[in-house]
Amino acid sequence: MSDSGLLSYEYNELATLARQLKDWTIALKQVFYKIPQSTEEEAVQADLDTALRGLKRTVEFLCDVIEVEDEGAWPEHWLTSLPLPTLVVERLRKAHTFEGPLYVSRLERLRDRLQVGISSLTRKDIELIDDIVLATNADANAIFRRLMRWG
Amino acid sequence: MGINTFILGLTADLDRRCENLQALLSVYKPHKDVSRLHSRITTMLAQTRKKIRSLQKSNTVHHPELWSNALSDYQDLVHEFTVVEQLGVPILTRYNKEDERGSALVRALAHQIGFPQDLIPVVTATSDAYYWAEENLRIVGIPASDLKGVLGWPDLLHELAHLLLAARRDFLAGFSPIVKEYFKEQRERMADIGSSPHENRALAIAQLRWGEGQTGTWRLEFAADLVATYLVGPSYAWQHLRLTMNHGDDPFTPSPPESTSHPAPQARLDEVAAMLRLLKCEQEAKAIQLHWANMLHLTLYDQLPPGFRTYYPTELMKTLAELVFTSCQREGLVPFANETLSQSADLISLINAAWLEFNCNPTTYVSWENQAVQTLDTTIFALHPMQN
Repeated sequence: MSDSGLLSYEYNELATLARQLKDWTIALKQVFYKIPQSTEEEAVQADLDTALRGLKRTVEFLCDVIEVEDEGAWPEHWLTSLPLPTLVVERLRKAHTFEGPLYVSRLERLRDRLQVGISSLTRKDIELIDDIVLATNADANAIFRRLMRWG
Repeated sequence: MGINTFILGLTADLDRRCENLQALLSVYKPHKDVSRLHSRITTMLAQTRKKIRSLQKSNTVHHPELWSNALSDYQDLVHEFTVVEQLGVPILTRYNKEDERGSALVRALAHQIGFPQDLIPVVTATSDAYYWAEENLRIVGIPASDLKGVLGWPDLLHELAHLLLAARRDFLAGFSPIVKEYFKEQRERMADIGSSPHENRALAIAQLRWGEGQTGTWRLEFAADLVATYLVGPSYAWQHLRLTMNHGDDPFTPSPPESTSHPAPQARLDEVAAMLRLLKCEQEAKAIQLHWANMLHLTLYDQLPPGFRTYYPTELMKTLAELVFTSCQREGLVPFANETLSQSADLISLINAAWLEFNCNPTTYVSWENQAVQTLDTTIFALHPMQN
């Protein structure tokens, strides 16, 4: 397969992950910000418990790897099933280069609060989650641009 | 004006562009070969418009806390539309005699190898990126010069394999636990004997590339090579040699510490040879490997770099070959068999005869090929019109 064929596969996989993360985040935000939903939206919204679990796993992964550039030192169970691809981890790592340990402690607090439930989350936590979703989206967009040879 | 209003405006603009394409397609009379593609594109546009309307009414675009998600939603829809506009529609509207010929070739091959009817793609002979497959639109791109260039046709089987793998998500079922166990054992072995950070990293990258998901592209690429070899036999390996020589690739890249989507050409040859052995084509596998080694001697690259087998372990490659062999049987695909080759009756025989002729008489092969392809339109291709 040419590069475009494999790029198409990579894009589809990453876009699916990005959508999943976004759906979880929206489910959280609807409750956190008390946003009323239509019946149609309620019907398709991700289950809150699933969202909390999924996001917690993602954040837990980041806590373990964000400061560890060498994949050889990553805990083995993550290598079997990555919650986020390495590209997204790198993007987040670069974005938070100048606040490394602070970013990690924020992630750890977020992880613990996601474990407790939505009532313990703060606005800053929601922003952190948004950050992760945006990074995943940014990488999906980057792959799509390469696929379509846009600039 | 809030940014959400701007996004709403963009969704209306996108909807209008979908409508423009729908209008264009509604008056377009597709060639019978591409009526399914026409129908698929029309359906995709309708679905995109439905999602646009849903986004316009949704909370994401009307509540500031969700605007970032609205932008992502909009971008997803732009991507959906773009695939149709920049890929599907041009291929549909240009569909000409060359594309017809390519599609006839694919249909004839599909019939012979037991490829599922509903997955048979349309071909566009406009590729500027060698052979490729697009699974959503079910299109395969081939280079125009390959319409009558038999030596490259094994790579068409590789693209058909990708379409099959995309449609049959359980084709490689059972491989993930094998991968997990293999790398766990390797890690334990390395912990026992002591390993460097470099070696640990190579093992981790290998595990990610052999795994699933966005990073796991090697298993997919190897699997497509294996399916193609199962179907067309030794000619797939010969074509792989040809492609590697055409491209001048470093046959050992990627090796540690690099990591790219495609596995190394050397590893791909090893995988193909494993399938040839399962097909009882031991002699052919040896002949190709000898040619490959001779090719390497002409280049800078005649030694396996350190860590190569960490990336491409023989054990895992053999297991994948066996698993794909079984899956191909289960799918009802027709395996290559030396005993059933005939000189002219079918395309698999023709492709292998082409490579035999090329190996025996490389300097006069071109005249042989000219004659061989001349009658295809009225013989093999004519047997398999488009089914709608």
